[in-house]
Amino acid sequence: MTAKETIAAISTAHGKSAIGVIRVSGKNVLKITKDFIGSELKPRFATNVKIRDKSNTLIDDVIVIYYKGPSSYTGEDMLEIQSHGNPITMDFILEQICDVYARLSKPGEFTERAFLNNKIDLVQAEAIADLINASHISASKAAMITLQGNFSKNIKLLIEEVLTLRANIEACINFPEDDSPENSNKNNFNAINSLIAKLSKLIKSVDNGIVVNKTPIITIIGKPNVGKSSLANLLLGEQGSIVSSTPGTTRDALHHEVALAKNNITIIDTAGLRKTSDSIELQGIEITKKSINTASLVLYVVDDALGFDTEDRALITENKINNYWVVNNKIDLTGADPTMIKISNVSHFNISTTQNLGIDNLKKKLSENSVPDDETTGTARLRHREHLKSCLENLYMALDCNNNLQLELVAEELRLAHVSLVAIMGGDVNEDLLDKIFSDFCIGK
Amino acid sequence: MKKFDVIVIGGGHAGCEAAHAAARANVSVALVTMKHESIGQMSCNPAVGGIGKSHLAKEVDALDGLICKIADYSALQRRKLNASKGPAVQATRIQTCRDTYKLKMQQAIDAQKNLSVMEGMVSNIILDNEVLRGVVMSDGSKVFAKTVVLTTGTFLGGKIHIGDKSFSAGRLGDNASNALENFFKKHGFSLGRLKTGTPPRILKSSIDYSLLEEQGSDKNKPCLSYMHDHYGQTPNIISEIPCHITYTNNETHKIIKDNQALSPLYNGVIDSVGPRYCPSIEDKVERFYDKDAHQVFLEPETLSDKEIYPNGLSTCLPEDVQLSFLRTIKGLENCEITQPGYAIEYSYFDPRGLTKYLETKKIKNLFFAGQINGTTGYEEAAAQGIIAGINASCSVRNIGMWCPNRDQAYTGVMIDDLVTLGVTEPYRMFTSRAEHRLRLREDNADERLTAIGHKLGVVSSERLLFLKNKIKKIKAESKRLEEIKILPSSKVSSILEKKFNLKLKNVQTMKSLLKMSDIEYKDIQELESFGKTINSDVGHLVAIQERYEGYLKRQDQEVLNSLKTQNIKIPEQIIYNEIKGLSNEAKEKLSEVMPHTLGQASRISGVTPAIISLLRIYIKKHSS
Ligand SMILES: Cc1cc2nc3c(=O)[nH]c(=O)nc-3n(C[C@H](O)[C@H](O)[C@H](O)COP(=O)(O)OP(=O)(O)OC[C@H]3O[C@@H](n4cnc5c(N)ncnc54)[C@H](O)[C@@H]3O)c2cc1C
Ligand SMILES: Nc1nc2c(ncn2[C@@H]2O[C@H](COP(=O)(O)OP(=O)(O)O)[C@@H](O)[C@H]2O)c(=O)[nH]1
Ligand SMILES: [Mg+2]
Repeated sequence: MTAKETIAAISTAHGKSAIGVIRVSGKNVLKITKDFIGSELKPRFATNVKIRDKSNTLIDDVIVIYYKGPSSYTGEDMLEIQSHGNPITMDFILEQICDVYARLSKPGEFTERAFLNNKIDLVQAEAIADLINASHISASKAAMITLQGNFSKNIKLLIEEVLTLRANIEACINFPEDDSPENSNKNNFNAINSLIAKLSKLIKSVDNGIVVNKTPIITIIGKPNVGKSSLANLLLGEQGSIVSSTPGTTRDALHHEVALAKNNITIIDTAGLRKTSDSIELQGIEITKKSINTASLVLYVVDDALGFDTEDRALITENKINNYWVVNNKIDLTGADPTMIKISNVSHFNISTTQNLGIDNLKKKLSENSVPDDETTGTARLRHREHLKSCLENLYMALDCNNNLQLELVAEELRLAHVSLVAIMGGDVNEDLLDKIFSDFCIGK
Repeated sequence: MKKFDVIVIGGGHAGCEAAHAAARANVSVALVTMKHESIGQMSCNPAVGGIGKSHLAKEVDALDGLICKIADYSALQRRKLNASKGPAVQATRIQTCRDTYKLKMQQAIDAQKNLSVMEGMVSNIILDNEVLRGVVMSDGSKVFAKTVVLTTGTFLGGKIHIGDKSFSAGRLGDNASNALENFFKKHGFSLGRLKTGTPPRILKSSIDYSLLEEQGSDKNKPCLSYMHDHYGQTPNIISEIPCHITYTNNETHKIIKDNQALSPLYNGVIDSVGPRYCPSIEDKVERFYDKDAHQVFLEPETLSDKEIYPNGLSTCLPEDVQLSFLRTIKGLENCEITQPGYAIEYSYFDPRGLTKYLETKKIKNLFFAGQINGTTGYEEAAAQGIIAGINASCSVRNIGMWCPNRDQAYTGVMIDDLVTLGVTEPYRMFTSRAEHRLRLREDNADERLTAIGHKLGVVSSERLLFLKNKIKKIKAESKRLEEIKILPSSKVSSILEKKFNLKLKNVQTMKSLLKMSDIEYKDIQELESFGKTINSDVGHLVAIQERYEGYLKRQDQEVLNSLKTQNIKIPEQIIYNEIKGLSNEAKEKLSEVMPHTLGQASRISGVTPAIISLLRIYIKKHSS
């Protein structure tokens, strides 16, 4: 297949919103404007168009914008149709287009085309992929920051700085007889140190970015039969794990992703923790212990009639659980007040899963808690971090060689550092260096 | 009827190496060139070597080529550059006598068996049903051969500019080769235009040296050829003539600026690209306007020493302007010009039309080498020449062709750059182009290439023996030093502490001391337990190996890792247009270059890691 098919999709979130946007990209865009819209469009001008069905009934009054390739998001001819956000009208318009001229796009396909047509760089493309998979609003924000080129900008600045230093050193090595620049051990030392400081800062923010992009994990534990699975099911809104009145029924830790308010969280329902000799149940307890380690928050469920006793306290300390909330279940039987209280810094909730008491309150607090602290960092992927880390290593080595007065080895480490940065952003290690040398220094006899 | 295995067109630096190498490989060779007397002529500054360039030259020497030996025999000045910066970036530069160089080159060519020189201008190539048969001379006579190596330098479509004068020429005093250019245009070769320039020459007796700074040879006077530095005797310098240094000044710059409009570089007459690292003085004054002075080296050109080459003053201003700005420079107040500076525009072939064996993709058995591939410099030309000569002979002998890899030789770096990236300005070697710079050193080109050259038939057995001897000595000394142990409590240890602030914690070998950046071989030679040295030259080589050992191991690992992807072969019949997801730009570039491997593909500008992984998946899918 050589010519790319034309693709179309609704590009605003499904559901009710004020305005819905349908995007079309590919070579059939011109045909669509001619045949379907009925008139030729001036690029980048908003035009009002009335859409009618076969029986000439007015379906919607839409705004259409035509982007002529390559000056468009994907680099191809594109059409943007802004309708009134009603899912039924939007589906209707999309169907009309896809009937004759296009096919529905796959996830990320617009971005992929933008990337392949060199409209965005690799970093931005990956950020968009992050955006599509973003697990909560904060991560989407982080992805947006990357997308707007904050991360790219930082890397570009670092590359520029490495280049300046390399140009200086390489000019001294390659043109010792020309009026090459001053190169001193001390200047190299300062320049490398400044790079190390900036890079370390960037790596730190990248680390945060990676944490941000993980869904918070909430693990539910407690003694058997206190109502853990019942709580999990309520939070999940479906029959996730088996609820049973025989102690020890939930033997595996069950993972479930769920959207709480606008944020995704993962809920793990576990087997009960208790002393037992049943080998299968012991296995379940092992898994429970593991899932405690990965949890960002533990919900410790107790039967309100029995209360939080010394065995519970022992289980908490034994398993080194430090971030937990206590959930007193079955208050329908004790008549406790369904509110939240704080006892010595630990939150206590009173709920009843069968009577749906105190659940909304718990959900609300969970959703607030699932938003990570740092909302400002750009998302970066593991790939970026690896390159940044090896770049940092090379810079430290360069510092060492500089102390030993081994300029050609400093140069080698800096070359490798440069290669790592370019692997993230793209660029040409050799040509960019020569450009810099010849624009900065008067070289050549 | 004249019939040969190989015809080499052009007796410049590429042509001499190509012809001589093919003849050494025992095939019959004709070197066809305009004039016998201009074989080996240096069009510009008669210096061989320099950073990056000496690395190339030594690789030619390691393959038993001519350039280093001839330069050593005609040296007026021999210097080691970067002596304080570590062995990997050190280089040798030799100022030669232009006349002696040319003469010795002609003698070497004339003395070689299987090699005959024919004077004349080639005006056409004979193709018989797409099969290469030989060449036609301008008098209409024909010479036949199985393979042809074209090394015509700046002669194709050459055009000289001095002020508002311009005329067709290959270089000053030589005719351009215009008829031949038509053949290639007709056959759809992709030609481009580049330019270069040269400074005026000055009559030596008109220079006042009394106030100028002098620069002589180094004390140890290094040679270029392994035959002289590592394997045998060092020839004497034929006559030691020093260089002098002077500077331009604001008055010089003012004259140049005021007359800028008279320079074809600035009035729109020349629009082809010149080398950035070899700017004309017009360019330097314009671009670096804040500099008050530019350095000028006054270099001897010949033994007879009548003409001086003012290195740094390349120009194509009118001759009277050249004279008036020269006379503002200290020492040149009363100077006379013997030959004006000029710029030359010439045609070159897009080297992406070549395979890495320097064979054209369009016509089998036709090879290109030297400046016509968009390079500049004698060493660059010589290194391509020897590869093209070897491969032409391989083709005749029906054996596999060869080109060194990027981690094997600067020659490999250069050819890979040329055939993969093409050129946008005259290509010159810089050590920064080589990612394996620490491995590709002046001291070991023979260790990297000589044995291969012997297998290919261009290196004599005697030469191979010299190499084996050298390696044996290095190994022996290295082993000897490894066996000498130094105890922390010993007297030697306390000397080390005093002299180098080095505290030994446990037993060390004498060899491992060489890893320390500030300890050299001569330092350990002074230690009591050192014992008897074989030869301090060899010791120096051991020290170099020790210095880079850790780095080279790391690089070996990297090479190994990247080799897996790098060396994945791209099937020759691949059709990039059929690969889904490739951008049109990538398709175009890949189809044009037709890289042999993924490694080569990855170096094409605009080919991103994403594209490489696409290709890898595609190749994997289609190979099964
Ligand atoms: C004006 C000028 C300035 C330069 N300045 C520099 C510089 O500053 N720095 C630098 O590194 N390099 C410089 N060079 C480049 C350097 O001289 C060349 O790169 C090098 O000589 C190229 O070698 P070659 O073998 O490719 O070609 P050349 O040395 O040019 O040899 C070409 C040979 O081909 C022969 N020939 C041409 N056409 C025909 C034909 N049709 N039939 C038969 N024989 C033919 C010619 O007679 C000549 O012998 C300069 C060159 C010129 C001309
Ligand atoms: N009365 C009452 N019973 C409950 C409540 N929550 C759970 N149960 C019952 O307690 C038993 C055990 O529940 P389950 O969720 O399987 O407990 P787990 O072993 O901790 O997972 C079941 O019979 C549930 O119906 C509650 O809030 N009130
Ligand atoms: Mg359960």
